[in-house]
Amino acid sequence: MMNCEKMERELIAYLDGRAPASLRREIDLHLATCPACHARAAEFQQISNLLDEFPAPDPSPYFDARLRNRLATEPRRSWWSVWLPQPRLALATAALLILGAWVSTFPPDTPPPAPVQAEEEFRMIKDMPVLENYDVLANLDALSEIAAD
Amino acid sequence: MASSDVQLMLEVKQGDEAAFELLLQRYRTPLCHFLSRMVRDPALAEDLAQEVFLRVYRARKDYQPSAKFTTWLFRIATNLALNAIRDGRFRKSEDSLDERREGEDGESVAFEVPDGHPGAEQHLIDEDRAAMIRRAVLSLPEKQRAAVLLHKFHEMDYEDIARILDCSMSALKSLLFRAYETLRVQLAPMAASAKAGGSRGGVGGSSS
Ligand SMILES: [Zn+2]
Repeated sequence: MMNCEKMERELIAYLDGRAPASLRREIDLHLATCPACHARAAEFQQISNLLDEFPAPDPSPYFDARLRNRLATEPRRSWWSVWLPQPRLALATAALLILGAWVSTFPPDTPPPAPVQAEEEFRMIKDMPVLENYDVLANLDALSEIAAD
Repeated sequence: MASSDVQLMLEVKQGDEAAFELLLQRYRTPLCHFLSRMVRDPALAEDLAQEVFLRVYRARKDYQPSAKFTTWLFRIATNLALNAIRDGRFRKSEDSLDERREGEDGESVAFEVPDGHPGAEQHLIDEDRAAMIRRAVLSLPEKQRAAVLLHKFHEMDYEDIARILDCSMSALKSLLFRAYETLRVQLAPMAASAKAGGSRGGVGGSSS
């Protein structure tokens, strides 16, 4: 037997047409006799119609280029396992990732730095002994974790 | 016939970059739409969408077609968005200032004198309506917001949305109900004026 409390759980599935036929009949019966639920159903329907006017911008024209730029700095997994025992190379990868992220923040009309310059910077970062630190690697791992809550 | 998402993802797993490109083309826009409605800052929304594809790429070797691809994809997107929103709360209150400014702008726009050419006034009213709807949805608690958006704009089953939000079916129904209760209070003035417009189909399932 349908009541107002049960209606709360089922109303939206009723309005979006996904409630099974038997449940629909029960809800129809309740709506015919309960002005409060009837009014709420009408208002929920209006809210849903209003949401149709919720705008969402399309991706920027640079979306793919930016993503490719970031993907290009991703290690291929088969190499990664070879690199991992070597902190210098792993750090160089980290440096490239950071550099890639930095380059991708350039406004679209600014040309990215020339490859030579990037390579120099890369070498510079790679040769900095102070960076030979496993903490950076640990942080990289933490970056790849996503908590649900 | 177009390849299924799972099939494409399995090809990505084998190292086929063209398959990744196809998935990107298929989901770039829906993901950007979802994230732009989830978070306040449009630049952040696009960054998060990029991050989703990066995570997919990084996870390719471990990919197992156990769940629907879209469920997995939107689960990554939702978790990234929820984390970004929660992180943002610990930062300085820039966000709320922006919001206030946006609100003032929105209201001032409504009372601006139309510039004369026909349709301009209607355009301003539409802009204002959209801003009000956006504000109302952004004011929802983030999990309710995600539930409303996935249900309304992304043609997903209740089971899939519950999986994405990591909650039970009855918890999902309760999230949706509470969200619509809040929205009906916040958008009451608009809903009253929309009555004349008539109904446009069911509650869920319009595609973004
Ligand atoms: Zn009732």
